[in-house]
Amino acid sequence: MREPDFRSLKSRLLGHGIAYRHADRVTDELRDHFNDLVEEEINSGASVVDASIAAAEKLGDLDIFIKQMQSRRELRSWAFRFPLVAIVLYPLGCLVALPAAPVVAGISHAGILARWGTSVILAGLFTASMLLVLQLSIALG
Amino acid sequence: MRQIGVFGISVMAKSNPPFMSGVPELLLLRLLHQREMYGYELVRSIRSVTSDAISLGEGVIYPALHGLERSGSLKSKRKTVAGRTRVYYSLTKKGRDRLDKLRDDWRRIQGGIETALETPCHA
Repeated sequence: MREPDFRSLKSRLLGHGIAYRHADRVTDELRDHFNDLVEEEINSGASVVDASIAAAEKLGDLDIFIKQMQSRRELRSWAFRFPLVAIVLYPLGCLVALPAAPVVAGISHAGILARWGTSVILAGLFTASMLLVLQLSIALG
Repeated sequence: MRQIGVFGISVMAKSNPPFMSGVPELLLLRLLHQREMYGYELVRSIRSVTSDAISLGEGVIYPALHGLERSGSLKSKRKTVAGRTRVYYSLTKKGRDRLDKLRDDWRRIQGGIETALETPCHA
């Protein structure tokens, strides 16, 4: 069966900057459309091989299809629509966010951190007092 | 009858975008105004309602559908019919408004061309 290369279509669309949700869905739609065309040809008396060839021709050239998708800016992923943001501002934003992340996490989990801090301090005091008792018992004899 | 494919329309659209680029969009919105359909159904319907005068390239309908969906004129949902999952498109309120606008534009252009054709030339 001569089927267009749908497996590589999705990755080619992604490589040309089409957003994942469009690339994924349109590949499924095209495959379904191709199957419908094959079915139509078979119903009109063609053999499976001839039906597949005719269906692929009707569906059209996938290169042209990719160009049509690419020509629609609104279907591109944000990184391809705003390359300056993706290349410059996004990494800068990440650099700023990276040190801020533990602070934000600390604020949002303040209760847990307070309990943890208290237990660490209490455990430290207990250990220190036990060591002191041990030291005194050795020193005093 | 001479067929105009979407490829043909696209080529013309490059040289005169406002004039021809709305044709596939107008047809899709008009058909989806009646009922929800999936891609294959839409291609068949366009052939049928235009008496084969306009034959859309079968695969090329999808960029237009996705573009219209992205602009909010259409919405899509997956439905399983007879064991096969289809993506059905339907018109939104924004899509109906867009259809009205495109229809008015088209009628104005059509009226202008008809007037031009009926007016005798004195070149």
